[in-house]
Order: sequence, then structure tokens, then C-alpha cells
Amino acid sequence: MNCKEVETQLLDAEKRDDVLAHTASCASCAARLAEMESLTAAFQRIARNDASRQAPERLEARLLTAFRQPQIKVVPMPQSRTAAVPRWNQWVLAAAVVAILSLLALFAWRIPEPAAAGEEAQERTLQPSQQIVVPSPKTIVPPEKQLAINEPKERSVANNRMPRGSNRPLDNSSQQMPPISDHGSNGEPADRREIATDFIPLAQGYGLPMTEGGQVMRVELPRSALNSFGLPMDVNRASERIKADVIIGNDGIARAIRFVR
Amino acid sequence: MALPEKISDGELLSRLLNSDEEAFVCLYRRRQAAVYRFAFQMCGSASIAEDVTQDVFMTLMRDGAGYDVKRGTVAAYLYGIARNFVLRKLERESRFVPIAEEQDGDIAAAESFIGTQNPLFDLTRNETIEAVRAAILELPTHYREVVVLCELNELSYAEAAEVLNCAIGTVRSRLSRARAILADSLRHERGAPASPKRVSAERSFA
Repeated sequence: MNCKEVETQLLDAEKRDDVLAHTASCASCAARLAEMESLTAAFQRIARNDASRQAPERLEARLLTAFRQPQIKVVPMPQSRTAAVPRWNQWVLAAAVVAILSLLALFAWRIPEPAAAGEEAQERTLQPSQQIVVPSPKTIVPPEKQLAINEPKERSVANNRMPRGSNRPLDNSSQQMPPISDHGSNGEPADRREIATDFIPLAQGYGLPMTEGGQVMRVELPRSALNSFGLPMDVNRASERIKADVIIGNDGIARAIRFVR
Repeated sequence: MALPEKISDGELLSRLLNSDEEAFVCLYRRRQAAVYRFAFQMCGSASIAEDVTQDVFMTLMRDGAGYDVKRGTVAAYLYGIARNFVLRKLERESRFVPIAEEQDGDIAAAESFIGTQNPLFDLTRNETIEAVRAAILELPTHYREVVVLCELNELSYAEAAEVLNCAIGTVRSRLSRARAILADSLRHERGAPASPKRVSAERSFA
């Protein structure tokens, strides 16, 4: 066994005798082995120190509260495992939601504009009875106006077109997209202001250009979707909805999402 | 708890998914510490570890039906979920700028380690243990997770491979490389300027 082999087989218990035989006559490999053994002892010490670490008791109480909420309880285990769809990654859930919304947006985007597409298309009131409203491309409504005309409990979709060649929507005064956006600060009451996270790139948006224009779509998601993006969530409100803005490119592919409260 | 200790994780999960609160509590108490430790050792932050533990068990409640016994144990499944959340947290953290240090004692301990004259590591001393812990946190994520799983939580290579969804040989080679990086890092720190400050859990947006 030479030094190169020892280097790669220091951790191999089956080769330990060979390693020891080599280190008896090789000072550098002996020192290397001593380092590794010392490192192993350090790992064991850390493991012993951490053995008593556990989640605080308050977490169990929070989770139990969530468990007792009917919305959180899930469907029973499938009878046939072959029919079960593995869901190891919560991205799937979020991606499915975003994909459906993207298709809706694409559909709306491709509706041919009437020749008389007018200047009057500035604002459109969403009917309370509408569950999901996708305005036609000519109805460009800044998100803060959409929010102002929507009832808080409504499930609605605000659709903003972005200018081609820009990754910002038409009304850039409210869409500078800082890490934390405080919308509605222009004299609006504090309780109507919006706080938004930074835009989080979606997996399918990687490698795609962001400068070809598109739309910002206001959607609502289950609050538990925050988990899917690694954001903290109040388990006591897991069954509630949360607003989000989704950037959808002209190709219909969702690029990024941000959560708004 | 009325449930017997010997009841399997799989059975507990099955009962949990049928709204058996007792089964949930039993499974949580059995596995929460491992999940919490893994997250803590990966991130070095108790608050993040708590968040990850919460997220893991919330996911279990919601998506536990997706568990497939053919793909591994419930413990490996939970580690896998925890790993996904940890990686997201770490990715998010990389966008932040540190504004404060935490665990200054760890840095001091690391610097005390730097000055040792011992030609070999004396890594079992209390202060150097923290230096090793800090060095683990500096490892690239794919090396850090094999160290945390195999060395600090004593998972076998096969179990770690289930969690990481990779080949056993990959686990072995990553672990070997991680140990080499750690040894070099700790050795080269001696006499060198203080290591880069660790990023705190208390952060601000860039």
C-alpha cells in the first residue's frame, strides 16, 4: 500500500491493518492518520454534547394545535402504494398552482386585442361574486388599485401587464421590488399598507431571461405554501390564505413569486 | 402515552394520517430531537432548527401520505424533508448581509485553537470542539450534510444515502473529502488571521 492508497482508504475499516502497516514506516501518513483519529474523537465529543439537544416544548404545543385543525389533517394513507404519487418535494404543490395560473395568464395574454382598445381601459372593478377574474390585456390596473377595490375575503386575481423589454410592470412606482416592499405608503392608512417579501425565483425560471416583459399576477395561496418556500408560518393560521404576486413571462412561464401581507 | 414503545414509526405514521393524535405525539416525541439536531448542526442556529422542525412535522401532517416504505425508513424520510428545508433556509440566508455576530464564544474558541503548538490536533479539548463545530459549518453543504449525518448522528452510509438520495459510494467519497477539508482547514488556521466571521441568524436584508 502506498501513500496515495492510504489517503483514500484511511476511513476503510477493512483496510485498517494495511493502513497501520504503512504508517509504521511513513511519518507523513502516520501524522495524517493521527489527524483523522483526532477528528473522529472530536466528532464523537460533539455528538455527545448534542445528544441532549431537542426542540423546545412550545413547539409540540404549536404542532398539536395545528394537528387539531381539520384543514391540516390529510387524506388517509392510500390503499395501493403503487397508485400513490410520491410527494417528497413540496415544490410540486407550489409548481402545480403556479402552472395552472400561468396557463390562465397565457390564455388571457393571447386574446386578440380589439382594434378599439381604448384609453378608457384604466381600471376595472372586480365583481364580488367572481371567484377568479383574469382581466383582458387591455385592462391594466396597478396592484394597489386592485387591492383597494377588492374585498379582503375575495379570492381574486389582479393582472398587470409588464412592458416588453423590461422586468418591471407598467406602473413602476409601486413595483420597484425592494426586498421588503411597503405598498400603499402614499398617504394610505397603515392598516391598508402591504408588506411584501422579495421576489423568490421559481425553479422553472432558472436560466430564463427576465427582461422580455410579462405580467405580475396577484393570487392567493394557502398560507401553508409559505413552508414550501422556506418562509416562517404561523401554524395557528395555517388554514388561512395569503396573497402573493407571481411574475409571469410572455412565454407563460412563471419566473418568481413574492408573498404579500 | 398509551401506545406501546415498540410500535413502529410506519404504524404511527399510518395512524397519524388517520387523525390519531396520540400517534402523532408519539412519533413527534420519538423523532423530533433527531430532526432538530440535524437542522441545528447544519445551520448552527437554534431558531432555524426550531423552524425546520416545525416545518418537517407540518409537512408530515399534510403530505405524509406520500411516504413510501420502499424508499426507506420513516426516520430517513423525516431527515430528507428536514434536509430540503435546511437547504432552502441556507439558500435564503445567502442573500442576507450579516449585521451581528452570534456565539462570540465560538470565535474566541476558534482563535484559541489557532494558537496551539501541538503538532497534532488536540480536538477533544472543550474549546477546540467548538472550533471543529465552526469548521463544519464552513464546509460546502454537500460535504457538511454527510458529516452531520454520518459522524454526528451516526447514520450508516446506506442510511445517509437514502436521505441524500445518492449512491453509497458518493456518501463515502464525500465524507472522505469532507474530513480532508476539515483537517486542512483546522491545520491552516493555526497562525493565520482570524477566520471570516460567521453569519448570524439575526440578519437584515441586503
